[in-house]
Amino acid sequence: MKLYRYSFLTLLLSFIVVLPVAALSRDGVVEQTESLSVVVDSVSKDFEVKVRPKKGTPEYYEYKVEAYNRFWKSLIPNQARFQYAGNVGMFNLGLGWHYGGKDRRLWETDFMFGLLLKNNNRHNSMTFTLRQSYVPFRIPLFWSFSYEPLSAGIMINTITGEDFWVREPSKYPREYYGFPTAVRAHVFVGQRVRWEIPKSRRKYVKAISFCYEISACDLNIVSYATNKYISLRDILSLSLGVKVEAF
Amino acid sequence: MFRFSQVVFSVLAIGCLLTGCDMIDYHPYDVRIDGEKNLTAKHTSLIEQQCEGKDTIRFVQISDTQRWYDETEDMVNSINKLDNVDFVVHTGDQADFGLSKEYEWMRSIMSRLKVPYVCVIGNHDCIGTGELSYKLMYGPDNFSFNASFLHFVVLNTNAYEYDYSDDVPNFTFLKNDLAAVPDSVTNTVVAMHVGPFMYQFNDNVADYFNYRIMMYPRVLFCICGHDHKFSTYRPFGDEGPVYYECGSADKKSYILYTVTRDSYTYEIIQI
Repeated sequence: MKLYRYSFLTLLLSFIVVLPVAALSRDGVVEQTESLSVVVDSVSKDFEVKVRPKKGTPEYYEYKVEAYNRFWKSLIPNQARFQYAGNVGMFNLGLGWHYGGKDRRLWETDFMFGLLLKNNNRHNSMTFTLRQSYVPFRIPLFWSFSYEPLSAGIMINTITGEDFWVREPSKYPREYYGFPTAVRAHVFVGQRVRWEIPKSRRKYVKAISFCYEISACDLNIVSYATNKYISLRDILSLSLGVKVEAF
Repeated sequence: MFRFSQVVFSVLAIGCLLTGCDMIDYHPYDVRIDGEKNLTAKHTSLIEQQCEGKDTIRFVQISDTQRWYDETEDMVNSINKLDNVDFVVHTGDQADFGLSKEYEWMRSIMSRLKVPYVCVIGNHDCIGTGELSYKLMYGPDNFSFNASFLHFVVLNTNAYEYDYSDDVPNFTFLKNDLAAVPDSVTNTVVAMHVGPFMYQFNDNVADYFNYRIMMYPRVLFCICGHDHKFSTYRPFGDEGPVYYECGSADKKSYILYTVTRDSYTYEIIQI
């Protein structure tokens, strides 16, 4: 039995079973004592500190259901993005999460679905991208605009089509070409301008960001690193994007 | 608070980037190729014009330049210093990963050649959408031209890349091409990336391949690449032509052939 064959199943199981259990015993949960039976004031709405009722009581069941809900609620994607170009497809739409840091926007993870429209005898293809970015600085501008001078991260991209492989077809000797044509890794740096919509004018979303990013893909970086002829500009690729934060 | 001048600078930086439209890429394997296309047809007609009536044809073979851009550039400079070269043949693997960008880079290096060049498709050129890029930039993967008395045949022999879904090598092409050889032709040279009995070649049809090749008027020799080393071999003994294999670009050397109606010489030039 090879473990990696069941990695997907393991991942699914961990989502269904392990994570909720872990969430139940998360920080913010205080063991019940004899004298304390009131609900402690919440620190924030998302991270309510509650007292764990005694096992076997009806309150305990309700508490468990609530914790279960709280966990799954925390997994709701809280941002969406649109990206044009950037070597990971022509148009990309993505859903994702921002989390971490003081304002819970230090890190971002997105899943993007993209299209590469047909051209020059090449049919339409789909792309799927996993994107992880790090946005460490915010500089307030005017009104409710702010400037984020650095967003950096990586993208792992895969493309559909029978021309590409993840593992080399068995007709080749082992490691004949030695790289998966279907999977590309990109590194990027970019900048953004963010508009946090004032609460009085908020209708659907909390904030909108406009961003551009400069990325380079792994194979081009290899070419750049081994040749003076290839300039940095040759391997860089520009993308434009809009990101909306739901909450 | 963020300074006004810094905002202006950032906006300008973004504007500069936007105008650099060559930075908009959709995918490394996207086959949107900028610049010159269909080069084989242009270059072969140039070669045919320039060589008309000549009694001596001199051509250079380079091969396997994949991801050796600096070395290829040096070789191009060196070839440009040679006198009386009629054309250059690249015997395959100009791209390492089959990316369209790699084709564009290699084209911009080889476009500095003073003489026309033709490219054979190699197995690395076929990776991903590489074959589409090749066909877009250069044209068909099997073609031939006549440099005065010399009939020059270029073939796709990368059988392992095609799963028998395409005819590789294409005998129908060879048959039709042979029928169209003009009477002025007295000698033939055949170029391919993978020679017979090298890995990638469809060895099962090697004998028939040789049979078809030998039907051409007086085959002098065949040229190939693929194994990244210089070698001379006779896969079919006395029944077939000699094959000259050119080394890869990292060796910074190439082969100069001088062909007359009666004989030929070759010289390995190391720079």
